[in-house]
Amino acid sequence: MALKIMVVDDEKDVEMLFRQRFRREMRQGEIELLFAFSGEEALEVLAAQGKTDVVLVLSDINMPGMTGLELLRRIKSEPPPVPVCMMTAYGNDDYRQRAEEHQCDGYLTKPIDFRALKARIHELAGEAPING
Amino acid sequence: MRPFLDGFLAGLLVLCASTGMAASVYAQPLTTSEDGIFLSAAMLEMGQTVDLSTVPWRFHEGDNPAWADPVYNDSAWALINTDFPSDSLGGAWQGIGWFRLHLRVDSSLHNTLLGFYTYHAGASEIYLDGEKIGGFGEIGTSAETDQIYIPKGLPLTAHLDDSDAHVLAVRYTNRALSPRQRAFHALSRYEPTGFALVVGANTEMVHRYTFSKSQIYTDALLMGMLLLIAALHLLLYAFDRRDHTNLFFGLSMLCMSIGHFGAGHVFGYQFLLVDGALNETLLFDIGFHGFMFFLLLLLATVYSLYAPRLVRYVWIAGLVWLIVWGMLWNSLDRTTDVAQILILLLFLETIRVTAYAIYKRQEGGWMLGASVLITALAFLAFALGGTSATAYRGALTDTPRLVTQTGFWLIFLFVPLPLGMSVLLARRYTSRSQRLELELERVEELSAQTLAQEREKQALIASQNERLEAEVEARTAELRQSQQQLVHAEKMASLGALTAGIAHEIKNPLNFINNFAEVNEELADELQEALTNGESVEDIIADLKQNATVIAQHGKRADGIVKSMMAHAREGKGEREAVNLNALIDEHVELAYHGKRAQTPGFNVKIERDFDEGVGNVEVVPQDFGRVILNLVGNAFDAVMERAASENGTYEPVVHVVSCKQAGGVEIRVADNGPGMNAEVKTKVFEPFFTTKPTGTGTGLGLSLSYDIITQGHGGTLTVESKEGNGAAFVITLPHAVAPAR
Repeated sequence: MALKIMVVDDEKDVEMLFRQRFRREMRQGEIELLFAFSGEEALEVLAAQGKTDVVLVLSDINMPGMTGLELLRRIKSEPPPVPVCMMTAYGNDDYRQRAEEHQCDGYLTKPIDFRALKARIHELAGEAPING
Repeated sequence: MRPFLDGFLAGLLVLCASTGMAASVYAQPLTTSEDGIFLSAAMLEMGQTVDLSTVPWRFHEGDNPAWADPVYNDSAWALINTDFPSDSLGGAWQGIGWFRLHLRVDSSLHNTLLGFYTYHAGASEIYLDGEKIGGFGEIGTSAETDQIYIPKGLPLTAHLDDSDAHVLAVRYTNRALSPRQRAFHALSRYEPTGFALVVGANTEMVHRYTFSKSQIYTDALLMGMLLLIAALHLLLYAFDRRDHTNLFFGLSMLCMSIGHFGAGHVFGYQFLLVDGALNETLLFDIGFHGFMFFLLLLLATVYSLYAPRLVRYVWIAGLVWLIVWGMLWNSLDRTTDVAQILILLLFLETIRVTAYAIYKRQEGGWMLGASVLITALAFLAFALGGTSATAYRGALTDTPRLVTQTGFWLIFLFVPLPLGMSVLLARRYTSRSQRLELELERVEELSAQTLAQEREKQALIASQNERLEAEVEARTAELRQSQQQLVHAEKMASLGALTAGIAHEIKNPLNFINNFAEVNEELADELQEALTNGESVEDIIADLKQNATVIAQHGKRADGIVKSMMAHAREGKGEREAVNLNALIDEHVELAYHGKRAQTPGFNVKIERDFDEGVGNVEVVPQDFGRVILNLVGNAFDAVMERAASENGTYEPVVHVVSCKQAGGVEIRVADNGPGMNAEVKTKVFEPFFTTKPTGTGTGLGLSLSYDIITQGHGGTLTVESKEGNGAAFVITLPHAVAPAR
């Protein structure tokens, strides 16, 4: 069964990047990617899809409207707990601290190291890393 | 008491006598017999006369022309001296009486000319051998019609024939004289009652007359000298009216001159009484007052020199004298008594003050003392000598010498004091002018010194000014430098605020660039694999292309961000260029937003942009103007965040950025719905270093610099509208035609 991962970012190119990066995993049916371009959309998608299916939410912080941190708070505030990884260009500790306060499950800084991301996904999915 | 001035003049004569020169000449003893007196040529030699008043004459009261006849028998007549005292005839005899004297001569006097001269106060007719040879004055029918004799000194001449016996008859009128007349005649060296007939060789008498007339010149000289001195000192006073000494002394000399004129027995009667222009009474008073005021004013002068505060007492004394004189008009004796006392007091006081001046070593004290002493001695000698009848009597017989001697000795009385005083005053003025000169020199010296000091002071001030200026310049330079540093710091601070945002902005494209590049690497591998396997590669190539495009796109994006950052950080060249103002504003609002977001987690604001497309291109200095927008928007963000922090969730922070084309130019408005500001903050908001932000977070220069940029750099205005608790709006206006940058 494919692991459902939702990516939330206001930049459209992110979708293309993720599709390409996870091209192989998607082709092999290991991972299924969902995209939302704002926090609000992400919540809608989660509600529509059912939270349990989604093993990981990857969210940008700096977005118009609902910020990534708000999204994190909202997701964490309602069970079941869905792992949320922040994925941001902000390198400063303020954001990391705030994210950790809201029980984020990871804090990735852009440019994203996909190798580390993939390892994290597998870790969260309770599986051994696929490879590389 | 003898009238003082009489004594004074008699004293004058005794001074002559005391020299011993006059003493030997007048005492020609006369031999008297039954036949009368004997005269010989030897007795009437040159320089000698015979005073006939020393021998007794026959006298008969009444008037009878026959009594002139030489053959008339007068043996029954009384024998008296002609210089009888006023009351010697029982005081009852008044009017006309006859005196007869028998003369015997030897052949030496046959056919010679004799001269007669008389001193008396009445009028007389002289007869020789029954023949009238002349008279002195004119005998009238009563006291009123008498013209009493005013001595002029002209002798009568008579011819002696060759007989041995002769008779002299004098018809004399004895009238009661007023005290002043008597006093005046006393001045003419004659006892007012009785007469003295002097006989001598005619040549001798004429000679004596001529000689006595020469005293006019002595008198005139003396008067002239006194007047000259008076004029000199009055002139000196006219030149310097502050010093009254010259006035007093000048007047004193004037009074002395007048007094001398009045009492001037020769001068006065020789010329002024002839025509009856003045009578002897008036002349006497003039002399009297002249001398009195001479002494008063002399004391005033001495006071003025050495005791100025006492001067007023002199005026009191003068007033007293005038009052006394008026009151005692009819009693000359008592007047003269008072005068003597007053004169004595004045003299003593003058001596006292002079002595005091000498004691105190006052200027000119010795000079005055010496002249006062000489005058006093002369005065005293004359006054005391006045009592010597012998001297007085003797003087009458030797007029020429008397006159000469008197003229000589008068100098001792009249000259030392005026001369001494004049010299004193002159010396006083000289020393004063010397002192003034010295003082002037000192003043000049001092002023030169002051000038030099002033110059020094000015030089000092100038050098201090220079130093101050240099210091001010240095400080100004320092200030300018620190200002530049501050401006730079402000720029860096705003840059710092942007850095986070910029980093964020750059990292996003970098994320794509890095990852797509890696993807492309993988795709290249796949492409090779597919080629090896003979699979279709078109999809892979399409992906590769697409990725490359994305990489390039984000590369450009990063480049743009870096460029705009550089543009911000770069020292603005200050050159204006026409730019799309809305785009510029938008860009910087965005930069500010990202910057703030990057720095502040949870920062959220609704930015409302309301751009008027009509604004179009506007000439601005892009870097500078951009900084202003960054600053204003940044402040607006801070304001709304501040309010957000203090309020609950209901508050929605909004920043409203508006551009608007207007008639005169463009208006840009950055408004927030933050807490606003109070009036005090509002007035200070554009001041340098004023900040409401916590220490260390703001430089306090942002708005101040923005203000300068807009007003000075762009010729626009930057104003603030705000109400406390009700947001704030900063309004920029830019004119269409931007003024040239400074």
